[in-house]
Amino acid sequence: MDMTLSSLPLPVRLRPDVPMSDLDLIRFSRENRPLRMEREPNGEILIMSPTGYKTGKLNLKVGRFLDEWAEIDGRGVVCDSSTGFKLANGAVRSPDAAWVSNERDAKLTEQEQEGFGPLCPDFVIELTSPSDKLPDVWKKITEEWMAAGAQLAWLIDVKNRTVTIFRPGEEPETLFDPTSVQGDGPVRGFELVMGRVWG
Amino acid sequence: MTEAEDELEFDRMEREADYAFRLHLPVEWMPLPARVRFDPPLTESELLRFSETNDIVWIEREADGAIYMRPIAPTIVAMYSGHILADVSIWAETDGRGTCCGRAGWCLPDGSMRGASISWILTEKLNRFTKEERKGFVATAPDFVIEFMSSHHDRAYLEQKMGQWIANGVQLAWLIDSDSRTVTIYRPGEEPEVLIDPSSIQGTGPVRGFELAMGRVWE
Repeated sequence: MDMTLSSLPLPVRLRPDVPMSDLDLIRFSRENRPLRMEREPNGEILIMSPTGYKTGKLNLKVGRFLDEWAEIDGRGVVCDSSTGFKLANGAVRSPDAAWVSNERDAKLTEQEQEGFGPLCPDFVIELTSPSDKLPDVWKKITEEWMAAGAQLAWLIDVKNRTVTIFRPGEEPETLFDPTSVQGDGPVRGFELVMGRVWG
Repeated sequence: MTEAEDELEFDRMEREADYAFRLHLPVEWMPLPARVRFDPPLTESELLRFSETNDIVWIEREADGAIYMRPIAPTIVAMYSGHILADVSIWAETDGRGTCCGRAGWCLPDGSMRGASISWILTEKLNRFTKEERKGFVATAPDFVIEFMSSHHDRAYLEQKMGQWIANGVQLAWLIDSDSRTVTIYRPGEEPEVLIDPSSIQGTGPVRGFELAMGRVWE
């Protein structure tokens, strides 16, 4: 039995009295494709509309460039933007692209790999879509990804053509319309040529 | 179109596209009764639509905005509530002062939307609302309500709800529990009065003159 709520404006936050388990959340997401779901540390489910056309195009390109590099580089693996990562604070989040070292990837059991990845990626990329509020994405990076142990995060602001780089223990650094961005730390050697992203 | 105009147009499109999605709430992960909160809260029309499209579930809104969902009445409760509804309705028609409603939702002054199995409202009060307004949940409290205790009800929850009816302007509320054969009567400014195994209940206040024979309920 299913209840439905039609014409619901999104994003919306849903807070059930009884929190959803990981399995519930996986089922709930599956029932509600193509909506995107994340779980807040307090158990609230954030329900977002499907990615817009332009953001979807850019998203895949960024992921593809990272994955092409990672395959040749050989030190880690890349996950797409629909992957859920379960953080230590109970949140389930999806970055637009994520890189995880082979060493940490190999530690996950088969069962863990089937659910939300119980780890924080070493490197994440977030793109702002027009409906995103920049302070919210900024907060997600500093308070979730970096706090959970990411070694490097990039925030690509599509509208303003800026890239902000977050490193542990350092002030974020914003590049204005850079021609390319150089990876460091876990992804030293990766270069994202922005001209190819903007297309 | 310049690039900047194009961006603005795109922004507008994406904002406008940001609605009208259908959300499925699978009951497997949400055993009823359940309480969920939406942020931003559902509007009155969204709440109405949610109730109408999911009439296999009883939906109310708490004063704090949480949506409360519980199963619809089991057969035995539906049977005796049917008898009582008929009695109240027939009496109301003869009496002429008020209108009897079954399963109606009311938007109460404290911000909640509550449904009662049976409610009765002065027709004069109901007539203040336009036909259009009456297509939704009208923003007033009924004058008299009857609630039934059934197996899926938490007694403490229902007792609290009875108090909320009174706090929101209901003049008389009866809670009928067929398992314990008790009827609890709530009135403004008075302690609830418990009748044990009454053969009939006398209406007071707004429904003075109404008498409910309990024989069919207790059978």
